[in-house]
Amino acid sequence: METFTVDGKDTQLIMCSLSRVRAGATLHVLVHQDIEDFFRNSSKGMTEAVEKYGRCWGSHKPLRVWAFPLCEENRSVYTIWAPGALLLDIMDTDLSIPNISFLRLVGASQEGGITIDFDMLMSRKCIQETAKALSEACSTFYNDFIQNISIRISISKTAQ
Amino acid sequence: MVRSPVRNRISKIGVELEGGWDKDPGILIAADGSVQFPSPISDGGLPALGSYGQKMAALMVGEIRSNPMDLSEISAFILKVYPQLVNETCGLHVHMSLIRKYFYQRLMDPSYQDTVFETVSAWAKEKKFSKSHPIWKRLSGGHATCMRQFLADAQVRVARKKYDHNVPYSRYTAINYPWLQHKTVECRLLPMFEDAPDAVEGVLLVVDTTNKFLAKQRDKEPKHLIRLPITNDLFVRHYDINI
Repeated sequence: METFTVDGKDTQLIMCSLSRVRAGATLHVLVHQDIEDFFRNSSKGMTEAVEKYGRCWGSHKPLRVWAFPLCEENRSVYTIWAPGALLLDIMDTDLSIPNISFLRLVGASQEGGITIDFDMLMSRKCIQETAKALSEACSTFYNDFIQNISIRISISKTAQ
Repeated sequence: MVRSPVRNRISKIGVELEGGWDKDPGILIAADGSVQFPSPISDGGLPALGSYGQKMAALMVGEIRSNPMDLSEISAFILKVYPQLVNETCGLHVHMSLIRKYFYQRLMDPSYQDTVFETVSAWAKEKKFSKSHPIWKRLSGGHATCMRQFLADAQVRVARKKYDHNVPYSRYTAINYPWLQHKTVECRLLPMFEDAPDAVEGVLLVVDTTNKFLAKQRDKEPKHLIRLPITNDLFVRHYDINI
């Protein structure tokens, strides 16, 4: 696996930062090439406009995501099927799970990454909790889809 | 006057004045179920006798909502349309829009509400309001329509006016954050005062407290990192099946 360095410190698969800014909140997304390759391969190269799903994400250029088929992996723990939606909607219990659909952004592994602007307002406590929830969700997603797995199956027969 | 030379970060101000008017204020009086005056009808179903009964029967009850105004306009508006009759059921709500969303977010902090309670309480003591004045019940933090609770993160996501109490997004808190509805921060702590000049002073105090609170927020906004380090861990699972 190739590595890339952020801030000259850690070697990361996912490196995002969430902060409150003048216009609301902003999320800077940068992922390892392997993450984007995973989505590119899953989508067979097909991309979709974020606006098709939701309009909460803003950017100076049109945002697209790699298409990704619905599956049942940990759907109650995080979602990667809600591009354009809020990161964590605390008002709606159906949406009160972390939204890490930003990992699907086309170009998220390119130098500089992608910045998403959110027209949403958060208290300091809320933004801390949101970042923590997204971080945990990314880890779970990694275990579900990316991590190398070795499965050893041994079949033995008991003498009768 | 309680204004200070702190930089103004408030864009526009609006007020809601609840009460009863016996003269046409020249502006719409909207219905408001929370405002209640004793019925002008006596027990026998007849109009109460005397001047009180006649006065109450002619009373227009509800609330006046101002347009968004500049700070310089708000005092004259309040003095012009202030109701002739108020009681403990009447609130004076102050809406403030901020010049930047960032300042709005900085007010989404429980310490802002605490600061408003402290300054209004100090002012009320200085004014020597009587023990029976409705301001004290509101300052107790337990008043049903202006609870001392911090629900900002849920309130900013409410798109329509809702009348529920005891819900995570209830608007009945001393400081309410109706971002999607009005793009304002609403202070619901003040009661309606018998004298209009006291109301003007109270509103300007809330505005000044808000500007002073923002002026003190000098710490840099932190960036919250979401990282997942590369590990070469192999997830190993063994299945032993015995047949």
